[in-house]
Amino acid sequence: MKPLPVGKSLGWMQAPASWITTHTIRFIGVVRVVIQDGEGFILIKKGKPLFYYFKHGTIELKGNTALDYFNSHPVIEFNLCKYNPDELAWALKLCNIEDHEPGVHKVSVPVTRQPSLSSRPADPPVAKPVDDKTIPEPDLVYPKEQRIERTTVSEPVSRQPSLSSRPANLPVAKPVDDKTIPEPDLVYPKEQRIENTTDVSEPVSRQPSLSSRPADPPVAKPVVNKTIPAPVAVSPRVHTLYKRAVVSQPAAEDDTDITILSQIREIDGIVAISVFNDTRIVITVGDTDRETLLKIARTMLETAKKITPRPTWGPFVHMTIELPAGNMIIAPYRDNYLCLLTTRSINIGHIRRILRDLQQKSATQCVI
Amino acid sequence: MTDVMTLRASTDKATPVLREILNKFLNLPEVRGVIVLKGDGGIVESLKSGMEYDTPFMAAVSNFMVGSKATLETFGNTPAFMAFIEFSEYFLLLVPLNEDFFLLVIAQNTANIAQITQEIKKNKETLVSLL
Repeated sequence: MKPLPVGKSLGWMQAPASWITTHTIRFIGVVRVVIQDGEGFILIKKGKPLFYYFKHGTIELKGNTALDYFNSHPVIEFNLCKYNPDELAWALKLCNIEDHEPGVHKVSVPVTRQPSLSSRPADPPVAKPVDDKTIPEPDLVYPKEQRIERTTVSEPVSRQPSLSSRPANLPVAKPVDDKTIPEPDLVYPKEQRIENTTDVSEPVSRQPSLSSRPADPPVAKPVVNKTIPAPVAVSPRVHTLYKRAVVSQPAAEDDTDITILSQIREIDGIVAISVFNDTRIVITVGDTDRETLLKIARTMLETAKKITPRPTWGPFVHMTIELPAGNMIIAPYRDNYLCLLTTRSINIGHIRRILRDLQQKSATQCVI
Repeated sequence: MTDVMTLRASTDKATPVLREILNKFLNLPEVRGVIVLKGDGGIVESLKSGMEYDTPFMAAVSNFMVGSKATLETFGNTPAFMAFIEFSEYFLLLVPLNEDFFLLVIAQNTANIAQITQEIKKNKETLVSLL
């Protein structure tokens, strides 16, 4: 299969395959998937998967077969790559998909794009940019560039040692006919929702684990292209610690999570930022030991819960532990909690201001 | 005008001086209580202004102390820490005086934290000398 347009990388994540469709309601682009030595993609238009593809060696899986393979892994590693209308149209054409929905420019594939592929024959569209951690912010809303050190969506599973054993520059499809597509203006597409809030999590481990090995490498099967079901709606959780004054709308509340977290991460002195709940870390931006972070955050949360009973104090806003090495902060965030690790350059005044801004942003996003 | 009351009488002769210093905190705008705590959550001395130090409150204070220390243990051996918990109407600021004693300030959310921490810095040495 011909390589799809590269698109604009929004960052690598780890999550179950089912997470992708439920968290990409506003996303148009390709989700590049890496599993063990194989690579593939899911072409998505506003939460609707249009095409599944996976290649492992000479074996190619398409459609539901590829989806089944993705789903056979508790967690897959993937990169969200945003498409502009031209890129989407080009990708649809490569996948032989007819899309007549309004809002997507149907552009014919210009012949002039063909010559460029000789200049980048070995450019793998799916090869994971290990050091590519830059996630630009959307021009329309957030003008400055954002960096995400690492964005992880955890599930209570361990996973296979895919990265170390994966040969470098293994493309999803043979770069026979690569097309150079102009870089799009970004419109941040991310959708964050917590799908499973009851499981007790373990950190996603990259260590080999036979018991958790989900499936053998795929076996060649007939190509099947079927309609993929629409994303599953997930009902919001009720906050357990207190009733907040600002209650966000569940449909929109996760749309800008990564954007907001990335913006906070950009503030000088913020080392890492994480969203967690009673059982697990939902998402983490920045360099940190997630297991330790969750342990500390839980301890702080328990403390905060024990202190809460006095009604005259009002709802819990945040808790900060200040250490010589830095600060650890927890605060309610939507239906979960936020955990911030900062350097000592940030004092409580800063922290309160950041959290206030965060609440305002969150409330604004909900209104929009 | 503040209504300052001690929670309990102390037999320690240093207490009047200690109370006098603690009263400085109560004179700061919006500060409603100040307590000297042991590391285990036990209360050494406390003053209040316009709030009740009932049993649930004291339990909450001890929990804050113990919970903060428990959090600290997950970091390893950290000698000193400051803990701050904020609610929509009040906040609690826990500051170490030395390895064994802590100062807890309870204030309304509108209180000036910088002013409080400045007052703590000014009186820390004296407080420690009295404990």
